[in-house]
Amino acid sequence: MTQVAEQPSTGTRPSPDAPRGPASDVGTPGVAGSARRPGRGLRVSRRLARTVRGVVRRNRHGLVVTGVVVGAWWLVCALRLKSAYVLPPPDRVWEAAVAMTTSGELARHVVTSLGRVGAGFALAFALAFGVGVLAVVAPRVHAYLSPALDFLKNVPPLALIPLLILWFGIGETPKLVVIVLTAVFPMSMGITKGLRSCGQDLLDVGTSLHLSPARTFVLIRLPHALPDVLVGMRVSLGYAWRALVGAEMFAAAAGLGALIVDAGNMARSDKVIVGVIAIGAVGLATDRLFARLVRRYLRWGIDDSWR
Amino acid sequence: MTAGAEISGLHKSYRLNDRTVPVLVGLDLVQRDGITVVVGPSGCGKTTLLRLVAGMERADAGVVRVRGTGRIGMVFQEPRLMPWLTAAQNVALGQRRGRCDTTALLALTGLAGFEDALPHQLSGGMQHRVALARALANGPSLILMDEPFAALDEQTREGMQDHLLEVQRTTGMNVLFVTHSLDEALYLGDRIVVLRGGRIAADHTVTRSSGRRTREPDDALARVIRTTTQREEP
Ligand SMILES: Nc1ncnc2c1ncn2[C@@H]1O[C@H](COP(=O)(O)OP(=O)(O)O)[C@@H](O)[C@H]1O
Ligand SMILES: [Mg+2]
Repeated sequence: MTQVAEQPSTGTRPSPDAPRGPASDVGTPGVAGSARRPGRGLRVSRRLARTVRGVVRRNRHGLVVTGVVVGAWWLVCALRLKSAYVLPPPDRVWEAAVAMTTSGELARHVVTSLGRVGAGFALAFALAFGVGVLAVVAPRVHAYLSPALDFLKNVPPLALIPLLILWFGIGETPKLVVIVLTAVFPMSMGITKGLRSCGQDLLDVGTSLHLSPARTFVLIRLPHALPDVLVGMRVSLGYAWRALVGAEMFAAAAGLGALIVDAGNMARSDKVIVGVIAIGAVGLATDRLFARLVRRYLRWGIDDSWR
Repeated sequence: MTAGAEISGLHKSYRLNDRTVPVLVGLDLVQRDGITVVVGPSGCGKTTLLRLVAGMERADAGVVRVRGTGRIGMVFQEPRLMPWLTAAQNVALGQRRGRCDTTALLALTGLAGFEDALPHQLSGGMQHRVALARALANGPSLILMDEPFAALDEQTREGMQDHLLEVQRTTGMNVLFVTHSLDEALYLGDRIVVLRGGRIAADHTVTRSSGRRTREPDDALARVIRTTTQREEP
Protein backbone atom coordinates (compact mmCIF):
# COMPACT_ATOMS: atom_id res chain seq x y z
CA MET A 1 0.00 0.00 0.00
CA THR A 2 2.18 2.87 -1.19
CA GLN A 3 -1.14 4.60 -1.71
CA VAL A 4 -1.75 5.54 1.89
CA ALA A 5 1.62 7.15 2.38
CA GLU A 6 0.98 9.40 -0.59
CA GLN A 7 -2.38 10.49 0.65
CA PRO A 8 -1.88 13.33 3.17
CA SER A 9 -1.55 17.02 2.42
CA THR A 10 -4.47 17.24 0.00
CA GLY A 11 -6.41 19.41 2.43
CA THR A 12 -5.88 21.02 5.79
CA ARG A 13 -9.08 19.80 7.35
CA PRO A 14 -10.26 16.23 7.28
CA SER A 15 -13.16 16.19 4.88
CA PRO A 16 -16.29 14.26 5.79
CA ASP A 17 -15.55 11.62 3.23
CA ALA A 18 -11.91 11.26 4.18
CA PRO A 19 -12.19 7.58 5.13
CA ARG A 20 -13.33 6.84 1.60
CA GLY A 21 -10.40 8.76 0.20
CA PRO A 22 -7.69 6.17 -0.26
CA ALA A 23 -10.10 3.55 -1.54
CA SER A 24 -11.51 5.84 -4.20
CA ASP A 25 -8.02 6.59 -5.40
CA VAL A 26 -7.56 3.12 -6.68
CA GLY A 27 -8.22 3.01 -10.37
CA THR A 28 -6.87 6.45 -11.18
CA PRO A 29 -4.56 5.67 -14.06
CA GLY A 30 -0.90 6.13 -13.38
CA VAL A 31 -1.37 6.38 -9.65
CA ALA A 32 -2.40 2.99 -8.42
CA GLY A 33 0.38 0.47 -8.16
CA SER A 34 3.00 2.87 -9.46
CA ALA A 35 6.68 2.09 -9.20
CA ARG A 36 8.68 3.02 -6.12
CA ARG A 37 10.73 5.69 -7.95
CA PRO A 38 8.39 7.28 -10.42
CA GLY A 39 9.77 9.36 -13.31
CA ARG A 40 9.30 13.10 -13.43
CA GLY A 41 6.40 13.03 -15.88
CA LEU A 42 4.63 10.46 -13.79
CA ARG A 43 5.21 12.49 -10.66
CA VAL A 44 3.75 15.61 -12.29
CA SER A 45 0.71 13.82 -13.60
CA ARG A 46 0.24 12.24 -10.23
CA ARG A 47 0.33 15.65 -8.56
CA LEU A 48 -2.11 16.98 -11.16
CA ALA A 49 -4.47 14.11 -10.52
CA ARG A 50 -4.29 14.79 -6.83
CA THR A 51 -5.06 18.49 -7.34
CA VAL A 52 -8.03 17.68 -9.57
CA ARG A 53 -9.27 15.20 -6.99
CA GLY A 54 -8.93 17.88 -4.31
CA VAL A 55 -10.89 20.41 -6.35
CA VAL A 56 -13.59 17.87 -7.12
CA ARG A 57 -13.83 16.82 -3.48
CA ARG A 58 -14.05 20.40 -2.24
CA ASN A 59 -16.76 21.27 -4.74
CA ARG A 60 -18.59 17.97 -4.78
CA HIS A 61 -21.89 19.46 -3.58
CA GLY A 62 -21.89 22.14 -6.23
CA LEU A 63 -20.92 19.61 -8.88
CA VAL A 64 -23.79 17.30 -7.92
CA VAL A 65 -26.30 20.16 -8.17
CA THR A 66 -24.81 21.28 -11.49
CA GLY A 67 -25.09 17.75 -12.81
CA VAL A 68 -28.74 17.49 -11.75
CA VAL A 69 -29.63 20.87 -13.28
CA VAL A 70 -27.87 20.13 -16.58
CA GLY A 71 -29.45 16.68 -16.66
CA ALA A 72 -32.93 18.12 -16.16
CA TRP A 73 -32.22 20.77 -18.79
CA TRP A 74 -31.08 18.14 -21.24
CA LEU A 75 -34.15 16.02 -20.48
CA VAL A 76 -36.52 18.94 -21.08
CA CYS A 77 -34.87 19.54 -24.45
CA ALA A 78 -34.72 15.85 -25.37
CA LEU A 79 -38.43 15.41 -24.62
CA ARG A 80 -39.09 18.57 -26.65
CA LEU A 81 -41.03 20.15 -23.80
CA LYS A 82 -39.60 23.47 -24.94
CA SER A 83 -38.55 24.42 -28.41
CA ALA A 84 -34.82 24.81 -29.06
CA TYR A 85 -35.54 28.43 -29.91
CA VAL A 86 -36.74 29.12 -26.36
CA LEU A 87 -34.43 26.73 -24.55
CA PRO A 88 -31.43 25.62 -26.58
CA PRO A 89 -30.08 22.23 -25.45
CA PRO A 90 -26.90 22.06 -23.35
CA ASP A 91 -24.73 20.94 -26.26
CA ARG A 92 -25.74 23.96 -28.36
CA VAL A 93 -24.87 26.27 -25.50
CA TRP A 94 -21.60 24.42 -25.04
CA GLU A 95 -20.77 24.90 -28.73
CA ALA A 96 -21.58 28.60 -28.49
CA ALA A 97 -19.39 28.87 -25.39
CA VAL A 98 -16.49 27.15 -27.11
CA ALA A 99 -16.83 29.35 -30.17
CA MET A 100 -17.00 32.52 -28.08
CA THR A 101 -14.03 31.44 -26.00
CA THR A 102 -11.78 30.57 -28.93
CA SER A 103 -12.63 33.76 -30.78
CA GLY A 104 -11.72 35.77 -27.67
CA GLU A 105 -15.17 37.35 -27.61
CA LEU A 106 -16.02 36.04 -24.16
CA ALA A 107 -12.70 37.12 -22.66
CA ARG A 108 -13.19 40.65 -24.01
CA HIS A 109 -16.62 40.90 -22.38
CA VAL A 110 -15.38 39.45 -19.09
CA VAL A 111 -12.43 41.85 -18.92
CA THR A 112 -14.63 44.86 -19.67
CA SER A 113 -17.14 43.84 -17.04
CA LEU A 114 -14.45 43.08 -14.47
CA GLY A 115 -13.06 46.56 -15.01
CA ARG A 116 -16.46 48.17 -14.50
CA VAL A 117 -17.33 46.11 -11.47
CA GLY A 118 -13.88 46.74 -10.00
CA ALA A 119 -14.07 50.48 -10.50
CA GLY A 120 -17.66 50.70 -9.27
CA PHE A 121 -16.89 48.54 -6.27
CA ALA A 122 -13.83 50.60 -5.34
CA LEU A 123 -15.80 53.82 -5.64
CA ALA A 124 -18.68 52.37 -3.62
CA PHE A 125 -16.23 51.28 -0.95
CA ALA A 126 -14.73 54.74 -0.67
CA LEU A 127 -18.20 56.28 -0.30
CA ALA A 128 -19.41 53.66 2.15
CA PHE A 129 -16.30 54.03 4.24
CA GLY A 130 -16.74 57.78 4.31
CA VAL A 131 -20.32 57.37 5.49
CA GLY A 132 -19.24 54.92 8.19
CA VAL A 133 -16.48 57.18 9.45
CA LEU A 134 -18.89 60.09 9.50
CA ALA A 135 -21.32 58.05 11.59
CA VAL A 136 -18.80 57.72 14.43
CA VAL A 137 -16.72 60.87 13.99
CA ALA A 138 -19.49 63.35 13.24
CA PRO A 139 -22.77 61.71 14.21
CA ARG A 140 -24.64 65.02 13.83
CA VAL A 141 -23.59 65.40 10.21
CA HIS A 142 -24.43 61.76 9.64
CA ALA A 143 -27.89 62.34 11.09
CA TYR A 144 -28.61 64.85 8.32
CA LEU A 145 -27.26 62.49 5.70
CA SER A 146 -28.78 59.21 6.72
CA PRO A 147 -32.47 59.87 5.85
CA ALA A 148 -31.41 60.79 2.32
CA LEU A 149 -29.26 57.68 2.10
CA ASP A 150 -32.07 55.49 3.42
CA PHE A 151 -34.35 56.96 0.78
CA LEU A 152 -31.86 56.30 -1.98
CA LYS A 153 -31.27 52.81 -0.67
CA ASN A 154 -34.87 51.95 -1.45
CA VAL A 155 -34.85 53.32 -4.98
CA PRO A 156 -33.92 50.67 -7.55
CA PRO A 157 -30.92 52.02 -9.45
CA LEU A 158 -32.46 50.80 -12.71
CA ALA A 159 -35.31 53.26 -12.16
CA LEU A 160 -32.79 56.05 -12.41
CA ILE A 161 -31.36 55.00 -15.77
CA PRO A 162 -33.42 57.42 -17.90
CA LEU A 163 -32.30 60.30 -15.73
CA LEU A 164 -28.71 59.08 -15.58
CA ILE A 165 -28.55 59.03 -19.36
CA LEU A 166 -29.92 62.56 -19.53
CA TRP A 167 -27.44 63.78 -16.96
CA PHE A 168 -24.33 61.82 -17.82
CA GLY A 169 -24.83 60.76 -21.43
CA ILE A 170 -24.26 57.22 -22.54
CA GLY A 171 -20.58 56.86 -21.69
CA GLU A 172 -19.00 55.07 -18.76
CA THR A 173 -20.34 57.42 -16.09
CA PRO A 174 -23.97 56.25 -15.91
CA LYS A 175 -22.81 52.61 -15.91
CA LEU A 176 -20.49 53.31 -13.02
CA VAL A 177 -23.23 55.18 -11.17
CA VAL A 178 -25.60 52.23 -11.43
CA ILE A 179 -22.98 49.86 -10.05
CA VAL A 180 -22.04 52.25 -7.27
CA LEU A 181 -25.66 52.83 -6.28
CA THR A 182 -26.26 49.11 -6.14
CA ALA A 183 -23.10 48.22 -4.25
CA VAL A 184 -22.76 51.09 -1.83
CA PHE A 185 -25.60 50.41 0.58
CA PRO A 186 -24.89 46.93 1.90
CA MET A 187 -21.29 48.02 2.33
CA SER A 188 -22.10 51.27 4.12
CA MET A 189 -24.43 49.38 6.45
CA GLY A 190 -21.74 46.84 7.30
CA ILE A 191 -19.06 49.45 7.76
CA THR A 192 -21.26 51.75 9.83
CA LYS A 193 -22.45 48.92 12.02
CA GLY A 194 -18.91 47.66 12.54
CA LEU A 195 -17.46 51.03 13.40
CA ARG A 196 -20.35 51.89 15.70
CA SER A 197 -20.34 48.61 17.56
CA CYS A 198 -16.91 49.06 19.10
CA GLY A 199 -17.65 49.12 22.82
CA GLN A 200 -16.64 51.91 25.16
CA ASP A 201 -14.66 49.36 27.16
CA LEU A 202 -12.16 48.89 24.34
CA LEU A 203 -12.13 52.58 23.44
CA ASP A 204 -11.32 53.39 27.07
CA VAL A 205 -8.19 51.30 26.68
CA GLY A 206 -7.10 53.83 24.07
CA THR A 207 -7.73 56.65 26.52
CA SER A 208 -5.81 54.81 29.22
CA LEU A 209 -2.86 54.52 26.83
CA HIS A 210 -3.08 58.25 26.06
CA LEU A 211 -3.83 57.62 22.40
CA SER A 212 -5.11 60.45 20.25
CA PRO A 213 -8.63 60.03 18.82
CA ALA A 214 -7.14 59.35 15.41
CA ARG A 215 -4.85 56.63 16.74
CA THR A 216 -7.69 55.12 18.77
CA PHE A 217 -9.70 54.98 15.57
CA VAL A 218 -6.97 53.30 13.57
CA LEU A 219 -5.68 50.96 16.28
CA ILE A 220 -8.92 49.97 18.00
CA ARG A 221 -12.14 50.98 16.27
CA LEU A 222 -11.13 50.05 12.75
CA PRO A 223 -9.67 46.59 13.40
CA HIS A 224 -12.64 45.86 15.64
CA ALA A 225 -14.97 46.71 12.74
CA LEU A 226 -13.06 44.65 10.21
CA PRO A 227 -15.24 41.51 10.28
CA ASP A 228 -18.39 43.58 9.70
CA VAL A 229 -16.64 45.65 7.06
CA LEU A 230 -15.64 42.50 5.22
CA VAL A 231 -19.13 41.00 5.36
CA GLY A 232 -20.49 44.23 3.90
CA MET A 233 -17.83 44.16 1.20
CA ARG A 234 -18.60 40.59 0.31
CA VAL A 235 -22.33 41.23 0.03
CA SER A 236 -21.64 44.32 -2.05
CA LEU A 237 -19.33 42.48 -4.37
CA GLY A 238 -22.24 40.21 -5.27
CA TYR A 239 -24.52 43.23 -5.69
CA ALA A 240 -22.04 44.88 -8.01
CA TRP A 241 -22.11 41.84 -10.26
CA ARG A 242 -25.87 41.73 -10.18
CA ALA A 243 -26.01 45.37 -11.29
CA LEU A 244 -23.95 44.57 -14.34
CA VAL A 245 -26.66 43.73 -16.86
CA GLY A 246 -28.62 46.82 -15.87
CA ALA A 247 -25.54 48.98 -16.12
CA GLU A 248 -24.54 47.60 -19.50
CA MET A 249 -28.07 47.50 -20.87
CA PHE A 250 -27.71 50.82 -22.65
CA ALA A 251 -25.12 51.69 -25.24
CA ALA A 252 -22.37 49.38 -24.13
CA ALA A 253 -20.11 47.99 -26.81
CA ALA A 254 -18.68 45.33 -24.56
CA GLY A 255 -19.31 43.66 -21.25
CA LEU A 256 -21.26 40.59 -20.21
CA GLY A 257 -24.42 42.66 -19.77
CA ALA A 258 -24.06 44.04 -23.29
CA LEU A 259 -23.43 40.55 -24.59
CA ILE A 260 -26.66 39.33 -23.04
CA VAL A 261 -28.72 42.27 -24.26
CA ASP A 262 -27.34 42.03 -27.80
CA ALA A 263 -27.75 38.25 -27.95
CA GLY A 264 -31.31 38.65 -26.70
CA ASN A 265 -32.08 41.19 -29.42
CA MET A 266 -30.76 38.71 -32.00
CA ALA A 267 -32.78 35.86 -30.47
CA ARG A 268 -29.60 33.94 -29.67
CA SER A 269 -30.77 32.23 -26.48
CA ASP A 270 -27.65 30.07 -26.51
CA LYS A 271 -25.41 33.14 -26.23
CA VAL A 272 -27.68 34.62 -23.57
CA ILE A 273 -27.22 31.48 -21.50
CA VAL A 274 -23.44 31.60 -22.01
CA GLY A 275 -23.48 35.22 -20.79
CA VAL A 276 -25.59 34.36 -17.75
CA ILE A 277 -23.33 31.45 -16.83
CA ALA A 278 -20.25 33.63 -17.33
CA ILE A 279 -21.60 36.36 -14.99
CA GLY A 280 -22.48 33.79 -12.37
CA ALA A 281 -19.15 32.00 -12.70
CA VAL A 282 -16.99 35.11 -12.57
CA GLY A 283 -19.05 36.45 -9.67
CA LEU A 284 -18.69 33.16 -7.84
CA ALA A 285 -14.96 33.13 -8.49
CA THR A 286 -14.45 36.66 -7.15
CA ASP A 287 -16.57 35.83 -4.12
CA ARG A 288 -14.55 32.71 -3.36
CA LEU A 289 -11.30 34.55 -3.90
CA PHE A 290 -12.39 37.30 -1.53
CA ALA A 291 -13.40 34.81 1.14
CA ARG A 292 -10.12 32.95 0.74
CA LEU A 293 -8.04 36.09 1.15
CA VAL A 294 -10.03 37.04 4.22
CA ARG A 295 -9.65 33.62 5.80
CA ARG A 296 -5.99 33.66 5.09
CA TYR A 297 -5.11 37.08 6.45
CA LEU A 298 -7.64 37.60 9.22
CA ARG A 299 -7.36 35.46 12.28
CA TRP A 300 -10.01 37.06 14.38
CA GLY A 301 -13.77 37.45 13.97
CA ILE A 302 -13.82 35.18 10.95
CA ASP A 303 -15.56 31.94 11.69
CA ASP A 304 -16.79 29.02 9.64
CA SER A 305 -19.44 31.19 8.02
CA TRP A 306 -16.63 32.48 5.81
CA ARG A 307 -16.53 29.92 3.06
CA MET B 1 6.73 62.10 47.20
CA THR B 2 6.72 60.91 43.61
CA ALA B 3 3.75 60.24 41.38
CA GLY B 4 0.26 60.07 42.77
CA ALA B 5 -3.25 61.43 42.67
CA GLU B 6 -4.17 64.57 44.56
CA ILE B 7 -7.88 64.90 44.88
CA SER B 8 -9.84 67.55 46.71
CA GLY B 9 -13.52 68.26 47.01
CA LEU B 10 -14.41 65.82 44.25
CA HIS B 11 -18.09 65.67 43.34
CA LYS B 12 -19.62 63.41 40.74
CA SER B 13 -23.18 62.36 40.12
CA TYR B 14 -24.89 60.49 37.31
CA ARG B 15 -28.28 61.07 35.81
CA LEU B 16 -30.47 58.04 35.84
CA ASN B 17 -34.03 58.35 34.46
CA ASP B 18 -34.57 62.00 35.50
CA ARG B 19 -32.98 61.21 38.83
CA THR B 20 -29.61 62.49 39.93
CA VAL B 21 -27.59 59.84 41.68
CA PRO B 22 -24.75 61.33 43.69
CA VAL B 23 -21.75 59.01 43.70
CA LEU B 24 -18.87 61.06 45.05
CA VAL B 25 -19.66 63.95 47.41
CA GLY B 26 -16.56 65.89 48.35
CA LEU B 27 -13.87 63.26 48.27
CA ASP B 28 -10.37 64.25 49.39
CA LEU B 29 -7.33 62.05 48.96
CA VAL B 30 -3.64 62.80 48.63
CA GLN B 31 -1.83 59.70 47.53
CA ARG B 32 1.49 58.77 49.12
CA ASP B 33 4.19 56.46 47.84
CA GLY B 34 3.53 52.76 47.75
CA ILE B 35 0.28 50.93 47.27
CA THR B 36 -2.83 52.84 48.24
CA VAL B 37 -5.90 50.65 48.39
CA VAL B 38 -9.39 52.11 48.22
CA VAL B 39 -11.82 49.63 49.68
CA GLY B 40 -15.59 49.76 49.63
CA PRO B 41 -18.60 47.71 48.70
CA SER B 42 -19.78 47.26 45.16
CA GLY B 43 -21.49 50.35 43.79
CA CYS B 44 -19.84 52.80 46.18
CA GLY B 45 -18.06 54.66 43.38
CA LYS B 46 -14.63 53.03 43.13
CA THR B 47 -14.67 52.73 39.36
CA THR B 48 -16.01 56.25 39.06
CA LEU B 49 -13.11 57.51 41.18
CA LEU B 50 -10.51 55.79 39.02
CA ARG B 51 -12.12 56.97 35.79
CA LEU B 52 -11.98 60.52 37.08
CA VAL B 53 -8.30 60.16 37.97
CA ALA B 54 -7.59 58.63 34.55
CA GLY B 55 -9.38 61.48 32.81
CA MET B 56 -12.10 59.31 31.29
CA GLU B 57 -14.79 61.20 33.12
CA ARG B 58 -15.28 64.86 34.06
CA ALA B 59 -15.90 65.86 37.65
CA ASP B 60 -18.94 67.98 38.55
CA ALA B 61 -16.81 69.86 41.02
CA GLY B 62 -13.46 69.54 42.73
CA VAL B 63 -9.92 69.07 41.56
CA VAL B 64 -8.10 65.97 40.39
CA ARG B 65 -4.42 66.45 39.87
CA VAL B 66 -1.84 63.83 39.14
CA ARG B 67 1.62 64.46 40.48
CA GLY B 68 4.61 63.12 38.61
CA THR B 69 5.49 62.37 35.03
CA GLY B 70 1.90 62.25 33.89
CA ARG B 71 2.42 58.74 32.64
CA ILE B 72 -0.41 56.74 34.13
CA GLY B 73 -1.16 53.13 33.46
CA MET B 74 -4.57 51.60 33.97
CA VAL B 75 -5.73 48.07 34.55
CA PHE B 76 -9.44 47.50 34.23
CA GLN B 77 -11.63 45.01 36.00
CA GLU B 78 -11.70 42.93 32.81
CA PRO B 79 -8.53 42.36 30.77
CA ARG B 80 -9.95 44.26 27.76
CA LEU B 81 -7.38 42.87 25.37
CA MET B 82 -7.82 43.39 21.64
CA PRO B 83 -8.92 39.94 20.47
CA TRP B 84 -7.22 40.39 17.10
CA LEU B 85 -3.77 41.04 18.57
CA THR B 86 -1.27 38.64 20.08
CA ALA B 87 -0.13 39.05 23.68
CA ALA B 88 2.98 40.92 22.55
CA GLN B 89 1.01 43.13 20.17
CA ASN B 90 -1.48 43.92 22.92
CA VAL B 91 1.33 44.98 25.22
CA ALA B 92 2.83 47.16 22.49
CA LEU B 93 -0.53 48.68 21.54
CA GLY B 94 -0.09 52.36 20.89
CA GLN B 95 3.58 52.40 21.86
CA ARG B 96 6.12 53.76 19.45
CA ARG B 97 8.04 51.05 17.67
CA GLY B 98 10.99 49.88 19.73
CA ARG B 99 10.03 52.09 22.64
CA CYS B 100 8.94 49.22 24.83
CA ASP B 101 10.44 45.81 25.30
CA THR B 102 7.37 43.59 25.12
CA THR B 103 9.36 40.43 25.70
CA ALA B 104 10.78 41.82 28.94
CA LEU B 105 7.37 43.10 30.05
CA LEU B 106 5.74 39.75 29.42
CA ALA B 107 8.59 38.04 31.26
CA LEU B 108 8.11 40.45 34.16
CA THR B 109 4.48 39.43 34.38
CA GLY B 110 5.35 35.75 34.07
CA LEU B 111 4.31 35.23 30.48
CA ALA B 112 7.63 34.46 28.80
CA GLY B 113 6.98 32.25 25.80
CA PHE B 114 3.40 33.42 25.26
CA GLU B 115 4.25 36.41 23.08
CA ASP B 116 2.43 35.06 20.05
CA ALA B 117 -0.66 33.72 21.78
CA LEU B 118 -3.99 35.30 20.97
CA PRO B 119 -6.14 36.35 23.94
CA HIS B 120 -8.60 33.50 23.48
CA GLN B 121 -5.70 31.08 23.79
CA LEU B 122 -4.85 32.39 27.26
CA SER B 123 -6.52 31.68 30.60
CA GLY B 124 -8.28 34.45 32.49
CA GLY B 125 -5.32 34.97 34.81
CA MET B 126 -2.89 35.12 31.90
CA GLN B 127 -5.09 37.66 30.13
CA HIS B 128 -5.00 39.81 33.25
CA ARG B 129 -1.22 39.60 33.28
CA VAL B 130 -1.10 40.75 29.66
CA ALA B 131 -3.30 43.67 30.68
CA LEU B 132 -0.88 44.48 33.49
CA ALA B 133 2.09 44.30 31.11
CA ARG B 134 0.25 46.61 28.71
CA ALA B 135 -0.33 49.12 31.50
CA LEU B 136 3.39 49.00 32.32
CA ALA B 137 4.44 49.51 28.71
CA ASN B 138 4.95 53.27 28.73
CA GLY B 139 6.84 53.16 32.00
CA PRO B 140 4.17 54.70 34.20
CA SER B 141 5.03 56.23 37.52
CA LEU B 142 1.49 55.64 38.66
CA ILE B 143 -0.77 52.73 37.92
CA LEU B 144 -4.51 52.62 38.52
CA MET B 145 -6.08 49.25 39.12
CA ASP B 146 -9.81 48.63 39.18
CA GLU B 147 -10.49 45.34 40.98
CA PRO B 148 -8.23 43.64 38.48
CA PHE B 149 -8.32 40.28 40.21
CA ALA B 150 -11.94 40.18 41.33
CA ALA B 151 -13.03 37.76 38.64
CA LEU B 152 -10.25 35.25 39.28
CA ASP B 153 -10.35 32.14 41.39
CA GLU B 154 -8.71 32.36 44.79
CA GLN B 155 -5.45 30.62 43.94
CA THR B 156 -4.91 32.62 40.77
CA ARG B 157 -5.84 35.80 42.60
CA GLU B 158 -3.26 35.21 45.31
CA GLY B 159 -0.63 34.48 42.68
CA MET B 160 -1.53 37.70 40.86
CA GLN B 161 -1.36 39.70 44.06
CA ASP B 162 2.16 38.45 44.73
CA HIS B 163 3.01 39.21 41.14
CA LEU B 164 1.81 42.76 41.53
CA LEU B 165 3.87 43.23 44.69
CA GLU B 166 6.90 41.90 42.88
CA VAL B 167 6.36 44.20 39.89
CA GLN B 168 5.79 47.16 42.18
CA ARG B 169 9.04 46.44 44.01
CA THR B 170 10.94 46.08 40.74
CA THR B 171 9.59 49.19 39.05
CA GLY B 172 9.11 51.40 42.08
CA MET B 173 5.87 52.77 40.70
CA ASN B 174 3.01 53.84 42.88
CA VAL B 175 -0.30 52.08 42.78
CA LEU B 176 -3.86 53.24 43.35
CA PHE B 177 -5.76 50.01 43.77
CA VAL B 178 -9.49 49.71 44.33
CA THR B 179 -11.18 46.59 45.59
CA HIS B 180 -14.29 45.47 47.42
CA SER B 181 -12.29 42.81 49.22
CA LEU B 182 -11.02 43.70 52.65
CA ASP B 183 -8.64 40.73 52.63
CA GLU B 184 -7.09 41.95 49.41
CA ALA B 185 -6.79 45.47 50.80
CA LEU B 186 -5.10 44.20 53.94
CA TYR B 187 -2.66 42.07 52.00
CA LEU B 188 -1.66 44.62 49.36
CA GLY B 189 -2.09 47.99 50.95
CA ASP B 190 0.59 50.17 52.44
CA ARG B 191 -2.31 52.45 53.11
CA ILE B 192 -5.96 51.55 53.16
CA VAL B 193 -8.71 54.11 52.69
CA VAL B 194 -12.36 53.27 53.06
CA LEU B 195 -14.77 54.78 50.50
CA ARG B 196 -18.23 55.13 51.94
CA GLY B 197 -21.10 57.51 51.31
CA GLY B 198 -19.18 59.17 48.51
CA ARG B 199 -16.15 60.21 50.49
CA ILE B 200 -13.19 58.79 52.38
CA ALA B 201 -14.59 57.47 55.64
CA ALA B 202 -11.39 56.10 57.11
CA ASP B 203 -7.69 56.22 56.36
CA HIS B 204 -5.23 53.71 57.79
CA THR B 205 -1.53 53.40 57.28
CA VAL B 206 -0.50 49.79 57.50
CA THR B 207 2.55 49.04 59.56
CA ARG B 208 3.71 45.49 59.25
CA SER B 209 5.54 44.57 62.42
CA SER B 210 7.51 41.78 60.81
CA GLY B 211 8.08 43.83 57.68
CA ARG B 212 6.58 40.97 55.71
CA ARG B 213 3.14 40.49 54.34
CA THR B 214 1.07 37.61 55.53
CA ARG B 215 -2.27 36.26 54.49
CA GLU B 216 -3.32 36.38 58.16
CA PRO B 217 -3.42 40.13 58.57
CA ASP B 218 -3.45 42.27 61.65
CA ASP B 219 -6.71 41.33 63.35
CA ALA B 220 -7.09 44.60 65.16
CA LEU B 221 -6.80 46.64 61.95
CA ALA B 222 -9.17 44.30 60.13
CA ARG B 223 -11.72 44.79 62.91
CA VAL B 224 -11.41 48.56 62.78
CA ILE B 225 -11.80 48.71 59.03
CA ARG B 226 -14.65 46.25 59.08
CA THR B 227 -16.59 48.44 61.47
CA THR B 228 -16.03 51.48 59.21
CA THR B 229 -17.12 49.71 56.06
CA GLN B 230 -20.16 48.14 57.64
CA ARG B 231 -21.52 51.06 59.57
CA GLU B 232 -25.06 51.97 58.53
CA GLU B 233 -25.53 54.74 56.03
CA PRO B 234 -26.57 58.00 57.70
N1 LIG C 1 -22.47 55.76 33.36
C1 LIG C 1 -23.27 55.72 34.45
N2 LIG C 1 -24.54 56.16 34.37
C2 LIG C 1 -25.34 56.13 35.46
N3 LIG C 1 -24.97 55.68 36.66
C3 LIG C 1 -23.72 55.21 36.80
C4 LIG C 1 -22.80 55.19 35.70
N4 LIG C 1 -21.62 54.68 36.13
C5 LIG C 1 -21.82 54.37 37.43
N5 LIG C 1 -23.06 54.69 37.83
C6 LIG C 1 -23.59 54.52 39.18
O1 LIG C 1 -22.66 55.06 40.07
C7 LIG C 1 -22.53 54.25 41.21
C8 LIG C 1 -21.08 53.88 41.43
O2 LIG C 1 -20.64 53.05 40.37
P1 LIG C 1 -19.18 52.49 40.32
O3 LIG C 1 -18.22 53.61 40.41
O4 LIG C 1 -19.08 51.63 39.11
O5 LIG C 1 -19.11 51.60 41.63
P2 LIG C 1 -18.05 50.49 42.05
O6 LIG C 1 -16.95 50.49 41.05
O7 LIG C 1 -17.60 50.88 43.40
O8 LIG C 1 -18.77 49.20 42.10
C9 LIG C 1 -23.44 53.06 41.01
O9 LIG C 1 -24.62 53.27 41.74
C10 LIG C 1 -23.72 53.07 39.54
O10 LIG C 1 -25.00 52.61 39.29
MG1 LIG D 1 -16.31 48.92 39.74
